[in-house]
Amino acid sequence: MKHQLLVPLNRQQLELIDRTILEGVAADRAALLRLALHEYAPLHAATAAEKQPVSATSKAAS
Amino acid sequence: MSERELIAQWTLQPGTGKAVEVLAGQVLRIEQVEGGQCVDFNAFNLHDYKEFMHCGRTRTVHGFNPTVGTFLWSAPPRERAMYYLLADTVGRNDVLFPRCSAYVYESTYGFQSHTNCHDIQAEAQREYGLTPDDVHDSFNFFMATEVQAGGAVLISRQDTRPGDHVELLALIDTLAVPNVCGADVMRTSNFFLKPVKVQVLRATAEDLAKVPALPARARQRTPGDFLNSTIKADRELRRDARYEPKFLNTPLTVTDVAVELDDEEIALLRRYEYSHLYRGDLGAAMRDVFFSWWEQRYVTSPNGAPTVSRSEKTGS
Repeated sequence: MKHQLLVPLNRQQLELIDRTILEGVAADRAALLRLALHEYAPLHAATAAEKQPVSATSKAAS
Repeated sequence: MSERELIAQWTLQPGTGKAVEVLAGQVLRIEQVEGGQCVDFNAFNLHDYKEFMHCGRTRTVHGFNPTVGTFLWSAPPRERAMYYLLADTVGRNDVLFPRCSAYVYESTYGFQSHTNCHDIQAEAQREYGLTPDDVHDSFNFFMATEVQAGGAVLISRQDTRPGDHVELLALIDTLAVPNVCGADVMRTSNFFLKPVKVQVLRATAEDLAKVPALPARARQRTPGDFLNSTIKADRELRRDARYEPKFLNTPLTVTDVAVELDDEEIALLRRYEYSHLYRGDLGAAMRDVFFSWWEQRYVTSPNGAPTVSRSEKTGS
């Protein structure tokens, strides 16, 4: 099943993305984002503890 | 190695400091006389005091304890390397703690009058027409500090000996202001104040060759680039009725980039270690993945540090 994800990026972030694409790393913005997901996310999977959301209380106290 | 020419020298007594002109290509050497003495340090562009040495920039680039091979930077928007740290026989310096001040000694120790680095700096700088408001956070030579687990910061005793020294090679014309730290009731200088020796020497060709090349960046701005380059000369702050905001790159418009992911990719994104920060917003998590990936792939120096090369001399 396919899911369409919307990734909000400001124009500065898009500039960096487009510069990266110009280097020939990926064909377009979506392809570049998927490349990053495949290359980076598998190496940075959450441990059980990290999956717990930060509570509003602990965030306010930090 | 050829000999450096001695240009000037002083012995700073406890409770004192000295504003010293150190021109580009000259070396400022700060040396322990008895050992165990912290030296606070401020610096300015000799030709424009509004450009000054900035601990925040310096610690961002070089960490909490800069030593040999690092630079002392000026504040944004100038962000120029002012000095190169040529020598450091101890390797314990601090850019985390601010200068000590009269308030500290009154509030913590009950002193109505006590030597303190802010007032010592101010008095030394007064020789060049500067005021107590012109003192900035100090680079603290020979100050042993650490950050503990949980974020608390700690001053330790130091173990410096007579002859221990640091050497700063000026990359621009500067006014350097070292002072004998006034903290005699703290561990900073092992509970006693001692003199320190300060010398200005002409750098040798070997000294100059040690400085890594630094790229010049267009965004290292000068007053000529400022929308308002006039130094305000009165104390009252008043609103300028003609002011119209001109913030860079604003409005910062946002565009949604559509990405099509399959079930496996969605699961991968959900498992990503920082996804939980975004409370189910997978688009934001995807953005985190992308910039983390980009940083890992393309950023070669941490925290915005410039990429420097030892293969050629600095052009500063």
